[in-house]
Amino acid sequence: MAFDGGRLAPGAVRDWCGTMPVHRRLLDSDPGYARAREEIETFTYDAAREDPPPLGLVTIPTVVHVVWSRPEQNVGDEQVASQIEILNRDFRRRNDDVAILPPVWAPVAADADIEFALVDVTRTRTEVAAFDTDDGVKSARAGGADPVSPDTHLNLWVCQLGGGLLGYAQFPGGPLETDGVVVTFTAFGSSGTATAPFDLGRTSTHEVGHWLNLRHIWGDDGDGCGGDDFVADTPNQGGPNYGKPTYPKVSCANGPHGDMFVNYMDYSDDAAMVMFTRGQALRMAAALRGPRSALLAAAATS
Amino acid sequence: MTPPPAALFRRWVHVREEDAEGVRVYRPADRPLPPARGRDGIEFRPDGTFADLRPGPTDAPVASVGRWTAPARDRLALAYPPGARSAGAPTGYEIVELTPDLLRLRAV
Ligand SMILES: [Zn+2]
Repeated sequence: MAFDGGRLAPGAVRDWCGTMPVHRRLLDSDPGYARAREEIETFTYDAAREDPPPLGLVTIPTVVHVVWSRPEQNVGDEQVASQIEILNRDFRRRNDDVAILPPVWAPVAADADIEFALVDVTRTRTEVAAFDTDDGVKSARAGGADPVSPDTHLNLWVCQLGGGLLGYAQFPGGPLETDGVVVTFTAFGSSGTATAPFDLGRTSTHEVGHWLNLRHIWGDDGDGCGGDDFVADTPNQGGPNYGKPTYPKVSCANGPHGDMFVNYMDYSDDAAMVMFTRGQALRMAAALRGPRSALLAAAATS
Repeated sequence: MTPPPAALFRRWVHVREEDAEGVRVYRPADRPLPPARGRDGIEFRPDGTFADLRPGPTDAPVASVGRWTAPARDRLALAYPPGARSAGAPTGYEIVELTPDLLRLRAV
């Protein structure tokens, strides 16, 4: 089983002479990107069928880019450390709050066997008051910070996002120069500027889940029942859940247990999302075997 | 057809925690807003189009562009592109309140 690229050619969607907000629209409609995503899904599907032996613990070198215009946005090293610790707990099922799981889901709550090692924190002062999802924060030319070796590192940008957005990610298969995740500074880590109900670092857990190819648990079809997250052990679910739902919350005839609103890939509050499933862990492992295999290679030689 | 007030023409973010009695509350996208997972939004443009903004598969908002008409000064009728109207999305609004800082819409 081989994975032959599926990576968008550099510069295929970026036109620095044009306006930045065009970028996202181009990415979404770019046939090269659509083809890359299709290849990744085929690879992931085959990987699930072939049931390869576990990868063992994979440690992902992580660079945090703090981009700030007001002093409070320049989050401290302690807050950065709190976020890395949360990622390491959540992806290893070492989070204490896994205890809140309804018993029915305890057996599928997975240790994804992925850890994160902070290798650098960059700090950039910017004139940009709030960043949009046009990826400006990922570019020094647009007032942000360029990614560091995104093929072998997770790049995590912390900044003020506009529009009340908590964070956003990029799936495997997108352009390297924008690869990584972005989190607003009030939803980053669990100390300092982290603000309830998004003060337990779960925005980063959710975004890194996307970065490792996880889809939203409701299947990204609005409130419909036809969407799929391509994971077998998550229930079919209508739309996203918000806040702290009460078990059981039934939609799409998924009773008696209902929506898995405790999953990191729902839209619940930080204190309500506490697990990945085994199926999600396998999907992330497939991302590491395929489109993100450079991370594995780098980890093996480090 | 009477055109809607010029203040309408900007990008608005739905602050659903402020919704009350069937009225949706929107705030300007370029002002500080309380963060939340999965905010939707709407952008009205003077050229007769609107962008329906929904969280996409990696959380960045994704726009579907449709056309608005104004049957009355405080009424908006929305036509979505084929397949883009999500279940339950209104096809008409009454403008309950419109200021530079606030838009309140009731689905009709
Ligand atoms: Zn998401």
